[in-house]
Amino acid sequence: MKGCDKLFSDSILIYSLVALNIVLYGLLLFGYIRSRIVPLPELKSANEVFAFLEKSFKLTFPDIPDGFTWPELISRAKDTALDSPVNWQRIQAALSEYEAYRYGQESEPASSDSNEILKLGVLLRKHGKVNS
Amino acid sequence: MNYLWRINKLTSTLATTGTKYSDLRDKIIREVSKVVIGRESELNLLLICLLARGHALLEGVPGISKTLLAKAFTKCLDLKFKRVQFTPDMLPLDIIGGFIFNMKSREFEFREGPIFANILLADEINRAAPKVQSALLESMQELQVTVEGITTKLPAPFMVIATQNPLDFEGVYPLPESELDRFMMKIGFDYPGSKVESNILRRNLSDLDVDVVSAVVGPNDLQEIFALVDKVKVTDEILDYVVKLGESTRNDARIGLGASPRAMVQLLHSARSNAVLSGRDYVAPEDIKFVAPYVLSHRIRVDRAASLKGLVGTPDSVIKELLDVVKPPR
Repeated sequence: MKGCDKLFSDSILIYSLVALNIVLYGLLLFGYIRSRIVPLPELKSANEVFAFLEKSFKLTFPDIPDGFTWPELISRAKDTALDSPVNWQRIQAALSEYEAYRYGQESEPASSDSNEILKLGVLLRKHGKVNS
Repeated sequence: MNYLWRINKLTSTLATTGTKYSDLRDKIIREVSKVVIGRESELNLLLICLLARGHALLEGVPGISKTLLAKAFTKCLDLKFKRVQFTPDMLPLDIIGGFIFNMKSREFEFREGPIFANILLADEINRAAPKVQSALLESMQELQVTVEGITTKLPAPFMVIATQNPLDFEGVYPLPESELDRFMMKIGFDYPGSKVESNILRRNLSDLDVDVVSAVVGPNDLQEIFALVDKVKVTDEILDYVVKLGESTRNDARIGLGASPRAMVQLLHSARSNAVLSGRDYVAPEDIKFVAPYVLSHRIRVDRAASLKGLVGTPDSVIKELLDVVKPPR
């Protein structure tokens, strides 16, 4: 009877340790995933999205001259070590769509198409804060 | 509804034609590379100039493949090509032609000079006297020549590709401002890098013949591309940007002579041509920024006093500084 009690308390201990492990690893995983997901601000139009990016650039690189163009900015961002990877192909596609709208009289792209641009803006601000 | 359908059809036609010529630049570069190595960016500028229906001035020391590049470029185009070597004893008649007495018919008849071609290579243009250089003015601007009061149209397209040696060389006359203003672009040729030079040497171990270059664009294709360039959209904001750039060259204390309205028109044309070659049907600020140093630097003159005091660099560096300051639409 005594041996049975000991077995029971041992298994409780093992199970609680396993549960604690699961919770700890879960928290670690959650923290990791959270750090990879960049919270994006909610902006309604492509114009707002690109204005946000422009502001991010100015905050991150205060030395940048006023005469810069979007491709120049993007190429400068590519040379910057950002915290999280950015899909440059999607950035390029979003930029092409935006330029076609701004200078080619095409229809305005949906702001959801510019999510990668927003992500770049947020990452640039983070980078600027860390390095300032 | 019908109107909308027509707009859609026009847009799709533009897109298809644009795609058809989107690899034009690569095709020409590939063909010219058979004889000229390491001059891709100069070739690209030459192509921009041609599509914008402008004239190009190639400047550099002798022996860095200015003439060879011009010859190879024209070979790609399947157009009528003439070359004139400019010398100090030349006369305007040697270029534009003149009336010659025909002994048989006992009448004066007009004999066309080498200018009656689609592409005229004016080799070492600044070795000829100003009188001869000026003979090109009317043809470059109005695409016609007038001799003895009779005006004759030049074939279309017409492009002058001139080469010149730097001004500090012996026996050269500086081109007057009015002549310089007729050139859409001045394309500088630097010495090649060591790797490129070693490739040039290797290539020259065997006989090099421009005839290996074959035509990749015909006259009909060119007309189609010209039409495409004419359809490239330019928004009011882009126009304002070009105007601001022009004004900045006129209001800058370091610049004695600013860019003319003609320069700004040519800037816009070359930007449209660059847009087509980049596969777009609209001009973006990067097109303007890309072509501006080549279109504007030979047209402005830095202030002599500021230059003597060492306050100002070359026209090229001044233009690049202005491009950094003037805000494009974003």
